[in-house]
Amino acid sequence: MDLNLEQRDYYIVGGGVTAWLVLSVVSHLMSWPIQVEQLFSALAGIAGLASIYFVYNYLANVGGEVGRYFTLIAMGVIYYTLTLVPHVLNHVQGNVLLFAYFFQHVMAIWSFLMIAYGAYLFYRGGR
Amino acid sequence: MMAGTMELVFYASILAGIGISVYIGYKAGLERQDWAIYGTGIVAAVIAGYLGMNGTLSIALEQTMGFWYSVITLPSFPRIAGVIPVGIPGPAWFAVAFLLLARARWGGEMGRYFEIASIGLIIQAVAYIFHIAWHFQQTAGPATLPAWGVSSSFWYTFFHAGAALSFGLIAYAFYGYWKSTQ
Repeated sequence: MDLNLEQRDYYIVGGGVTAWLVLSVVSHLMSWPIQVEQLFSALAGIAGLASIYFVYNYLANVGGEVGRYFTLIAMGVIYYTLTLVPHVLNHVQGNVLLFAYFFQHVMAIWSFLMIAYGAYLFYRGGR
Repeated sequence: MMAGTMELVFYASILAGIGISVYIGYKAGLERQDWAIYGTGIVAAVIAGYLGMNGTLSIALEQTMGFWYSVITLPSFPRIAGVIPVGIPGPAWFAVAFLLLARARWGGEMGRYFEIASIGLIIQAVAYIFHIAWHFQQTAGPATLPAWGVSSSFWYTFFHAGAALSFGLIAYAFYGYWKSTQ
């Protein structure tokens, strides 16, 4: 498969995956407590918010069909990112909010569906 | 966090997620079919919410939901050795397929960021399956999370740093698109 990735992307992706595995092994050897989950989840949350920021500003400069496809993907990313942590907190507290519980699971699936829909339109719209 | 605050934050996040999505959708001039697809999700979610509240749907359904996901995702068995093969990010596999097919047509920078985002989505979709299976094997508090041949400490970091990596790669792709407009 002939990829469009540049040299630096291999370093970023490779470096990220390596760090991920190394940290996991270190965590095992040092018996890191469950609180480390919160640290990494915070990093994921920051990345999620950064995604929202970038896509929001990107959309301000891009219109037309490409803007439309990206917007559909962004709708999925935004909903999933903003609701992920509160939804997990509800789980941890014993699923106390029944309506929100079921609402969230359907909309979470739908978020990925919106991403797939936008990707599908990119596939159809490419020249 | 008290149940009251958590409730507020949860509902606020749902409203924010939908509200911002609708706003950018309106600004982008989404077409009727786009709103129909998005709206169907909201309606389905509301119906599911009410069916959950009146007891028609039970929370235990989550553990067997794999079968229903297969209707809109990939063929899968409800559970194999305690693992739901696809789960919530199931549609991400379609996104990956379309992005990888699209990258050749768009080429260049667009194709490059499609590939980076696809890697992020793949990591998210694969790790999710095992992450949830791991939690389903939890019988009480965090101390009962399984070691799975290593240690629970290994998995705390593997799953959560994995999530950070997948979110980070997708952010990197969006960063690239944003940078290209500057």
